[in-house]
Amino acid sequence: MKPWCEKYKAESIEDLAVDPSSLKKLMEIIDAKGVALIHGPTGSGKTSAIEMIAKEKDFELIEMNASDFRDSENIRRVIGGSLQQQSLFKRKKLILIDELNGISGREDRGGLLFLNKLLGKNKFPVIMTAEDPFTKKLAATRKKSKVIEFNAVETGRIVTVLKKVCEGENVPYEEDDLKTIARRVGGDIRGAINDLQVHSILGKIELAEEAEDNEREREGTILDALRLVFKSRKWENVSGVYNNLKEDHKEIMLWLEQNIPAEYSDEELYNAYMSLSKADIFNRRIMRWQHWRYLVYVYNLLSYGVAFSKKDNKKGFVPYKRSDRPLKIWLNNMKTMKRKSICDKLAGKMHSSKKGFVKKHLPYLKLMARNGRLPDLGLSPEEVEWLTK
Amino acid sequence: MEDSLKIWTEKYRPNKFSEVYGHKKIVKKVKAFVEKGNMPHLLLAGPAGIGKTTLSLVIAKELFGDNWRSNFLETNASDERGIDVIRNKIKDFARTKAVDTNLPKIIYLDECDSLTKEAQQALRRTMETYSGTARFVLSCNYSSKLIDPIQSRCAVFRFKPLLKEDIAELVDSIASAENLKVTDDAREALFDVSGGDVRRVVNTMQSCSVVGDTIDKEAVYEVNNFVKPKDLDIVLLMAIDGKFVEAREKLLKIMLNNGLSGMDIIKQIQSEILRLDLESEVKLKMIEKCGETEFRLVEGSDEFIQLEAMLASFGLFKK
Repeated sequence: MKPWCEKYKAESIEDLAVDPSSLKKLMEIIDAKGVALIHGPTGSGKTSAIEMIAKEKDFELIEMNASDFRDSENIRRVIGGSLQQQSLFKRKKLILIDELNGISGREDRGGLLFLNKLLGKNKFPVIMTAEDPFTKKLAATRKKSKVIEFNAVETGRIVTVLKKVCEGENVPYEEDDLKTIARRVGGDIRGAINDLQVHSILGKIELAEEAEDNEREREGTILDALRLVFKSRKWENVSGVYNNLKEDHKEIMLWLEQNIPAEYSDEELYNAYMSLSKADIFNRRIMRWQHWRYLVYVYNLLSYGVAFSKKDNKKGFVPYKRSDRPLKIWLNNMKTMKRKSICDKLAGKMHSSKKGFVKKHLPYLKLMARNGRLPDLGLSPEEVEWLTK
Repeated sequence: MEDSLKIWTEKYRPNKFSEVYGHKKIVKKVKAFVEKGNMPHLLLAGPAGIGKTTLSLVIAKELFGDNWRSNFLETNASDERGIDVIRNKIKDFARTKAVDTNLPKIIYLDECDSLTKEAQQALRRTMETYSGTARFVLSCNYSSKLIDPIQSRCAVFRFKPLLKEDIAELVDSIASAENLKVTDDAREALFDVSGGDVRRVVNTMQSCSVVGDTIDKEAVYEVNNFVKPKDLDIVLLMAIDGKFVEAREKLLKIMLNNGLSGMDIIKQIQSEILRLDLESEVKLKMIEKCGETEFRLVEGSDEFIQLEAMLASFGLFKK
């Protein structure tokens, strides 16, 4: 038996829950044998739209997705050839390169480069999809293609589809329940159908009050994670504690950095910061060698490392604070704009480098300004005021 | 009057060889080069604020007179230290002949020790190629940071900090020009805080003059205390005392206010530790941690986290 989301896949172009104007653009490009780059969130119907068009217009669909190796050699083999040759029985071809974001820098070396070379020479339409087309990596590809956006599917449309599924499966439904399901998935139509299947497994739709276990990717909060790491010394509690956070490892580090002293002191404090320090070194190594596996160790150090810096479990409620370091740095940058403009004006006149000026002249100027006797140096009133601060 | 001349370091900057304080031997030789109109490339090495820039400005002014600005290029290697500067700005200037004279132009490259190695290689070729139209005057704190081929192309002059009598002479001449009284112990103090750095002497005098017409010892020390506060000491002592949060707050403030990098901080901390009033064993342990932190700064990506780890480790040394 097929899962519902397969079973109730759209059967014609009209059935697709995709914005008609986007669809129209896509069709035009396919007819013109052009190159399109479709982007949009998960489940917005990027791939199904293309599959549907291929089916209806009787194209031979040649697809490469993230599960294929996509280095230059493989792209040449799969797509390069078919771009120029006629297919058997002279069927028209449609080339789909799915999930461009998934082309890896390491394993798929040269893949994008080779692909970019092919674009523009294609004799058949080439459609690519990407969740985020605006990364630097895809800049060249983006330039060679028409970019089409697929919006998240509207809640109303999802509800319509869900109704159809319910009717097909003989599931009694309340419209409100379907709306709730639709709203929770954030435009992911495939997810909505899957959710419906889960919630109606007992013959009728049963929704819990709030988001719960069987919802996908339930986002945890950083505060819960910090609490586990700081309070507990149980291996199981701490493992995978950062898995479902929207914060990345750098942000998690900032949170930890800010809040360690609130929980730990002395030896514990030192141990915890040592873990952070080591994690930071791995961060740099990741950047330098582009060896992302090191990230595992970063997370291990940030979870187990910090958790086992202490000897006993911690009790009591501690309100955790967001790191104010980025804010301070930003504020300071605003402030240093003035310093910079003063430097730019005066450093040259004093035959000094900017750095040298800050060290060797600026303190004295400040002192004179503070005593209200700064010589007139052609500075703006704001700059003079900055000096007195 | 030019705006910058209101700052005494510019107002009293010498314009002739005869006005330069100290460095008698060096000045004599350079003067001879200029008088013969045949000067080699020069490399001026020595600590900050003792007259390297001044001497090269004097060379230009003596060589070209009123036209000196159009035949003199001043570039600060620490602001623009990439290879592009050498390839574009300097080459463009060196390509053409000097205005109104057959003498070669002067290109003054300040703080050369911060040029990258690649830029130095480029500079080496440029020095040779344009030796017909330009002479280079390079200045640096440490000549060892320059690649050998550059050093070998230059006549090297090593500057030492000014002597006490030179500083005294300078102090007196400014004092009389500005109608200031300088007490005897203030004169001592000026030499003491400056360590032979003329720029510092002059800046201190101007800052003192803002407050009153008499400069005494207290005023001199006060001004320079203000300029170089012992903030980092306080950070270190707080850290040792286990006041981690205060220490890191203060450290971040110092870094941001003064625009210091982690590496700047670690260098200062290292020398501060040696001066702290603590038992030798503790200081030794701190130095060890400091070294480890410097290593991690180089290897890591977030400087502040590394510094925090160091502060945390200092907290363990208290009794």
